[in-house]
Amino acid sequence: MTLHVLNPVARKVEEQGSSAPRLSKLEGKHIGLYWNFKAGGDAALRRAGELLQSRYAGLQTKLYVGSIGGSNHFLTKDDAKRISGECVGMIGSTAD
Amino acid sequence: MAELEKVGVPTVGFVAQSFEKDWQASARVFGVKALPWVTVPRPFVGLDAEDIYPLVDAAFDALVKRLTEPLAQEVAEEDRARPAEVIAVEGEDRYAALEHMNRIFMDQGWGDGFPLWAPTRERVDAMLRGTKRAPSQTVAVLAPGKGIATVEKIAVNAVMAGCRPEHLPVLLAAVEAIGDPRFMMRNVAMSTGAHAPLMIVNGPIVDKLGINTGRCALGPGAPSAVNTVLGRAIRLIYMNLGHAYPGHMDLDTLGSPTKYSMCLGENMDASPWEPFHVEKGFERGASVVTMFTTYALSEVEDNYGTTPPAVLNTTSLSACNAGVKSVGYWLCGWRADPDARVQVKDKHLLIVCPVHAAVYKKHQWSKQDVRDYLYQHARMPFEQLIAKTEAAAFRKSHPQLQWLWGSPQTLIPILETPDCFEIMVAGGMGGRSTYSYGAGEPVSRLIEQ
Repeated sequence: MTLHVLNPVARKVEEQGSSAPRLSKLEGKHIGLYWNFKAGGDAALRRAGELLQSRYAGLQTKLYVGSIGGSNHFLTKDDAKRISGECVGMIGSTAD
Repeated sequence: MAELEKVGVPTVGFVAQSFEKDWQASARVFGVKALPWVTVPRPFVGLDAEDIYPLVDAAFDALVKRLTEPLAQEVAEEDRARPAEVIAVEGEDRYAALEHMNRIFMDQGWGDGFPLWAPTRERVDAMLRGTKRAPSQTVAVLAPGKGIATVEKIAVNAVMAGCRPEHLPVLLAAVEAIGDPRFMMRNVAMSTGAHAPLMIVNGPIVDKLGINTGRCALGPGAPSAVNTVLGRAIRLIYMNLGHAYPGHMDLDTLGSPTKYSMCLGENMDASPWEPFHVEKGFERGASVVTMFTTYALSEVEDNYGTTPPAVLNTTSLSACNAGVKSVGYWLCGWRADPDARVQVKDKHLLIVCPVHAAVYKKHQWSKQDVRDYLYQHARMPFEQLIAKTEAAAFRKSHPQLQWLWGSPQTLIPILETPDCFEIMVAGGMGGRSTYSYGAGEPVSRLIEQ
């Protein structure tokens, strides 16, 4: 016999967006380091920043944390807008 | 990171092995299909810097490539082709077909591991007769997957759980509650912590449906059969409507049996206080469901205390468990939903057993008296709580409390304010209350009559 049953899974809200173009070079660039406050993420980003600065002349880094949250601090849309005026690339660590 | 990509900032993230699927799924939810990452063998948590640096060094070249080279490699895995809305399942007979259905559903990840009831058109239509709402109505969009929870999809999962039509209004209200940004569903459904939803029901519907408020209210067994299926439906809804599938967007480290089902009603026969829902602002005659996320439950066994301070001293000792995330969480800030820009405090729930409720009643202690006592006595040394908290988050969230570094033995409350201790009454006769370490705050909704 054939049993017909309904699919239990919900359709999702589809949000449309696209990735940003990549950088042509890293020399002289301002690169952000985003830490969500999870343990170990700061050390990873510090190391990444050291390696970038040692390899690419004139590259500067800046640590960012989210403006809202508890043990995890999140970047809001407003944070993203502000940051986009300060750096041209971001390395992130959620430590997961 | 997705928000940065959308405003034109190229990004790359460190992602630990076993978290890549979650990263990709989250990226799609947040609207950026190709969100670049580099894989590291394990999370950075629990490692010293000297152990983290080699992991970063090994991933560095790939990291640079993700920032500078076109994203050809970063096309996220394609969604599996979505099965049809009506699935035909073959079997030699009805029982074989039901078994076959269960195998299919478990292969798809749609079940909780226990046998499922078949959501046939007939059974779902019968379930839908439990509400006046239209099947196509959207009740909520559920995090973490932004699933559109329609009345019909909730009904399908209710059938699978073994619910009856008269249970559906409770579930509809519960989904409204977990869809409220203040419930922090994205945070609690995706975490590496064992966050389990607790459903609390108040009002006339408790007796009408036979929801257990007394002995074994949290199960298992026949007295809690209604409780069990209601709680189970919520788990299926988390998965199939919120898309919080284990290992996919639910990254719980170990899991917990509490995640299968947790539902109870309040024992108003034993309570000396106003009902939980009345305290939340609802009419006494209203039927209300409250959803509350819990980390864990602890027994508060005290068969000897005959005064409120005696019982609450035992309670305070149960509460002071630094191993639970939400104990002292307030030091690093508040749970937040960055999209809704909402922040909430962590609250805990004391489920007072009738024996302890009688102690409070005899001595005329109000709920506020109980809260105030717990706030004053459920305290731990700052140095113990900050040891498991990110110091930078504490500095950012509470600049006015930095003097505590100089007085690390200072006893500080485990919760931020007295109102963070929620209180209800439930259970049978025995000197055993239950302390529930919450994550976030409870959210309540009216149940349609």
